[in-house]
Amino acid sequence: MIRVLIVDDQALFRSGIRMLIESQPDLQCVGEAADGAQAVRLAEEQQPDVVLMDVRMPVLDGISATDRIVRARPDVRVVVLTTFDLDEAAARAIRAGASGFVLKDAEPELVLAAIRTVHAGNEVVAASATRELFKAFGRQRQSAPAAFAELTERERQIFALAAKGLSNTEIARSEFVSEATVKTHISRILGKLGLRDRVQLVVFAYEHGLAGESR
Amino acid sequence: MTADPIATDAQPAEPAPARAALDRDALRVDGVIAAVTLGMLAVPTLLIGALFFDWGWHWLLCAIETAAIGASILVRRRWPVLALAGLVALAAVHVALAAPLFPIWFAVLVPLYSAGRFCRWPGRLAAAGLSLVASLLAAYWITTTGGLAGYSPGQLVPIDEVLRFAVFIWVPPMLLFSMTILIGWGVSSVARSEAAVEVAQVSSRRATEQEERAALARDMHDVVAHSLAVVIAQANGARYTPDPAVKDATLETIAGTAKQALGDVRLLLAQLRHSEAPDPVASLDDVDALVERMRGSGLDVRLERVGGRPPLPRTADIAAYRMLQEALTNALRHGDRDQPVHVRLMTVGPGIVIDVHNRLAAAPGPAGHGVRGMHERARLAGGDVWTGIEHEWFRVRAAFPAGIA
Repeated sequence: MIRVLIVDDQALFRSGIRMLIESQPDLQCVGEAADGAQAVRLAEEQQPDVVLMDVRMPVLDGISATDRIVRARPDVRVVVLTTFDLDEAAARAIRAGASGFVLKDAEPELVLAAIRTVHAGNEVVAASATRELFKAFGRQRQSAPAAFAELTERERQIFALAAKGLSNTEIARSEFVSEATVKTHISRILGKLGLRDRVQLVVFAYEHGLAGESR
Repeated sequence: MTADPIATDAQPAEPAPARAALDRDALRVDGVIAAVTLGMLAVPTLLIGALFFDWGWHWLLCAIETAAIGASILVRRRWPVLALAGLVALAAVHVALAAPLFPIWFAVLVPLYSAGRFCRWPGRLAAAGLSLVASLLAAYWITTTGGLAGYSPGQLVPIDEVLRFAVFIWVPPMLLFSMTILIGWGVSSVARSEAAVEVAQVSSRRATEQEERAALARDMHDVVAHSLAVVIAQANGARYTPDPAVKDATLETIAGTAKQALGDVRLLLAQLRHSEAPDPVASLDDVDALVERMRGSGLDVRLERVGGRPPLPRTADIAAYRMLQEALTNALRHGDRDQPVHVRLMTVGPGIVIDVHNRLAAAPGPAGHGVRGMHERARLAGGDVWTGIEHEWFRVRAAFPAGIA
């Protein structure tokens, strides 16, 4: 059972998403918050696994709320809800620790998949959209920090594939190794680079010019 | 001296076509100045000189000078220093040849003024130098050819005489010439500061317009994006929920949300049209129609009048109406629409008080540009306004003094 917290300042939007979530046997809505401050409090009380977070809200916005929630409970995954597909606020929320973003008008299957994906942590939600987002709003081309040099040759290969948004399964298939091995590599890479999760890895790769894209 | 009607150099950033139009107008003005100066001074002088005094070949020199002075007036804006230098050179010739008095020379004041008016500092200083030369030439001419001191051209003058002449004969033209340059400079700085004020006004007007557009865009986004996000979320929820009763309730919510959004969009469009063309009939006489329109958008307006309708000055009347309109619009957009909005129009003393209060929505946003606009508008119309929150109510109270309607 994945415990989900819904954060949006519109009650009717929340109730719509709630219906969607509660129709799923493996998802459970553990609360609704109308602003960022409420979200921080409910995240503490209800111990959700995934938070669906609106960006623009009164009292405390989604970016600051995301920051506080992932600081207090690093195992929570935050999915940002946005109106525009190129929303700078979404980029900032991801930098603050959100694991991905979903458009408010996305197909319900996509919203549900995003919740399950960030919870599993095996792949990035909407990898190409995320890259586009950071292409538009990312801090460009800082040179790679010293930590990157600590990666082994093998880890760098895995890093390059994960940076393209490939899932563990896809990486395993392309590198002829088991998924468990990929998972180990990924967590070691994240640890060495001090990154929270895979979306941070994509952003890191993009912002340090390590994405291996010939643009 | 001519007052300058056109500020040619006032706005350096003037786009080229406007500049060309100014040039054509300026040339027309200068043509008139030249024609009047020459027609009234030069032609009679030339005729009188030729007919009654024996000017001989000096007549030809004076005719050439007339043409040169006319030309200098025509080019005075574009090349003031050059025009002045040409005239001073010609004056030197005039003095050297001991030519007779020629009153058209007073027109040299026009290029002098122009140098002060249209030049920057290097040009003004050059003009000052030339005016020094010109005043020396004038003093020399007065003492010799002019016959004031009885010396003939070329004669050596004793030093104490020179000093006397300097004070009484050189200083006056010197003062006249330099004052003329200074007047031109003064006019140019006035024109410059007027232009600066104008530019500041235009840019602040533009900033306000941009701010209003941005506010409208925000409102549009709030209404359209939020309502549609709700509609999408509710519709998707209904598709997935297994409970038929919930499905029905959801469809109702969707219809209600869409209907409300449509009302909001209509209101925004009305505002947009209103900001494009100000409504000329805004007056407290139209309060009933306004209230009806607001009721039509789903707002429960309770209107109460206390006392008659005092005669208000037109500005106060418009301001009072706009204030009420703004207050009701805010109530519709930010207030709790399930609660009534109370409007009271009261005649108090020699004026009117408008009191609007509406229940706040659950999460009130910050005061927007509408409230700022209210204060501004009231102040301009000689009235006073108070806006604020009292308990759970948002309240607007405005007072406007009566006057001679």
